Amino acid sequence: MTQMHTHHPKKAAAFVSDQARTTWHNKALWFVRQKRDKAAASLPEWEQLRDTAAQIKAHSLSNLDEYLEEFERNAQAKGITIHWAATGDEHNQIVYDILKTHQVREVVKSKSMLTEECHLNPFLEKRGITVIDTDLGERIVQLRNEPPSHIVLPAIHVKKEEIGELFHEHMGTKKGASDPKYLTESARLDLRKKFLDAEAGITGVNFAVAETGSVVVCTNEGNADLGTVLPPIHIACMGLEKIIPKQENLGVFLRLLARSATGQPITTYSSHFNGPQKGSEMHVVIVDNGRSELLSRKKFWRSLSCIRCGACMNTCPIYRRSGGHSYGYVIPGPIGSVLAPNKDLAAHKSLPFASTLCGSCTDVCPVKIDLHHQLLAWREEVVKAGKLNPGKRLAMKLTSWVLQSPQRYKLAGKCARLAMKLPRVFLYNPLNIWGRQRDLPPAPPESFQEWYTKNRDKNS
Amino acid sequence: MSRESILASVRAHKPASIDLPSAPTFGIRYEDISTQFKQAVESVGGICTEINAVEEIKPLIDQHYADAKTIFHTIGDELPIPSLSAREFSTPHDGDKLDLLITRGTLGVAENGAIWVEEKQLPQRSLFFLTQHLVLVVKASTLLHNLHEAYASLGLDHTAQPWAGFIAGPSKTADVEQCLVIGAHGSRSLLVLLET
Repeated sequence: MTQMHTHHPKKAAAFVSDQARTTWHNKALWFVRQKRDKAAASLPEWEQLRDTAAQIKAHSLSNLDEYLEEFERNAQAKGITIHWAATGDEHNQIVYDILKTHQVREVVKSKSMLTEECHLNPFLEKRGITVIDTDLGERIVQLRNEPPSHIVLPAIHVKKEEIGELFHEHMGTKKGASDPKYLTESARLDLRKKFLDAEAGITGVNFAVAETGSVVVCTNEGNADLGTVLPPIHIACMGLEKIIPKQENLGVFLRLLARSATGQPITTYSSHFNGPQKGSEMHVVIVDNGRSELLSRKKFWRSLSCIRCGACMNTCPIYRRSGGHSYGYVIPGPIGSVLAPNKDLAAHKSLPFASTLCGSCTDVCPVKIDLHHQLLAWREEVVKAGKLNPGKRLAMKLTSWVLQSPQRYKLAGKCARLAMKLPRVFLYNPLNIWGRQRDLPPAPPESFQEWYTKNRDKNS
Repeated sequence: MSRESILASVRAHKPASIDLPSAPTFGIRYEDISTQFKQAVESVGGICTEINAVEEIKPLIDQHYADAKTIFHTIGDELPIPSLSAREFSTPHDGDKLDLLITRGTLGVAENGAIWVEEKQLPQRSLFFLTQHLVLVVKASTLLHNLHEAYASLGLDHTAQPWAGFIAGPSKTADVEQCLVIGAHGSRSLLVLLET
């Protein structure tokens, strides 16, 4: 597993150094974004849906303690055991204790960003429990021994030829085979055995309904269902922000989730887990891990509304060209860049700058999180905390000094136009970070002000 | 146990209460709900065929699933296809031998092709996911326009069972280079028979 902090520009530079791959990655994600647009446009009420979803989330979060207790009460009444974890480690320990009590050696897991956030897999593996990720994309990255690079499309950065190699090594598929159908079929056969042998199943939670105590899990592959129906233990792990008040609210969220994520009108399976099967156990672990404190941060608490659809990454020009791993946080893209600094500002200080602030993320967010405003607000926090890197700090100071005086501004403009006539080496040298991948436009012969002084009387 | 400290922290940090919006009344409605439903089922990878009577099911099964050897169905004696006995499925794992499951859906949703099914209609709910192929029979009279209507119609009774849910199309994945492959872990195909 990679370390959980990074300097985004450095890792992004490594990714973009392979131009063909960057283009391929960019196109793959833009394709998903276009499918999302088509799905959104198919509903005249799309914007009303987004407004309603945002309000439901704001309501739930502003009354979260009551809904958590209501959920607990109703879930317990259905025979579900509820656990509370203040930290990722406590979450891992709870899951481990349940598994240990039942002497579980092998557990199947469906997609859960929370368990990634808590680093559950290495925790369990260190204690002798084998974890098998069963979402195909997650299985691919697990076998590659790397974290997912996208929250909905975990292996979006991997080419089919590489998957072919990987499956040849781990599942004995034909050498050199890269047909997606063949590779998917091979994984199906391999994982079907593992589902049948599993002693416990772990899932994430898309929505937890307070009024019924049910948890809803959405998948296309059916892995969450097979992973919970076959073994006698189901452990569902959720961040405490997953609570919604009523079942009818699911109508709003399920209409938005898949359309925003992949452009599908709904996922294949929308499973409502209402309690344990006969003779089985069902556990729900409710995890805080910094979330409750985030509720008090005026500029940032709405980031807890996120339903993890991934639309903001699919549309982000930076994400598409730098890849999920360049963010160095469990959740990449715009939403990851506003969540990560809550955990550790110093470690993730480069992430709020991994954005053009174009606002596309905010436009596609199904729960209307003001992502680009939050990214800008985090930049202010980085500056306030004195964590801006020295080069950027100096440049900002200099710009501010120049812009504060009309004389200095005019002089600076003149110097710049002159400097641009110098040979390239003077402008495009290692000191000019901006100019590494970009060329300046040709300099105009005069400034607008000079032109205006000369021409203002002509047409009057 | 961190329960108390987490709840205390939520209480201390939560923002001022914001109202819960009323239930949406803006859900899309379609002029021809059956045609929309059929298109939606096909858009999620399924096949949808209209039938006028249960007698029409057998020929369709023969046509689509000629190779199916182990079949379980809940349609009853009206359907002259031999079904395995429910007693053969005493554990969830027993569903792994199943080639074809034919059962009914409670209701269908026109906007997305989703069909509501419940644990109690099968000897094991695992059959929904372990079967190689799935056929769902849906009455046209149960079709609803959108998910808001669907949840309003379902109510909360289903929560007395361990599981219930929507199934929309066969299982699928696009995790290998965004290439859509039908037949991931669950059923490899879904045939929806819309009973008019």
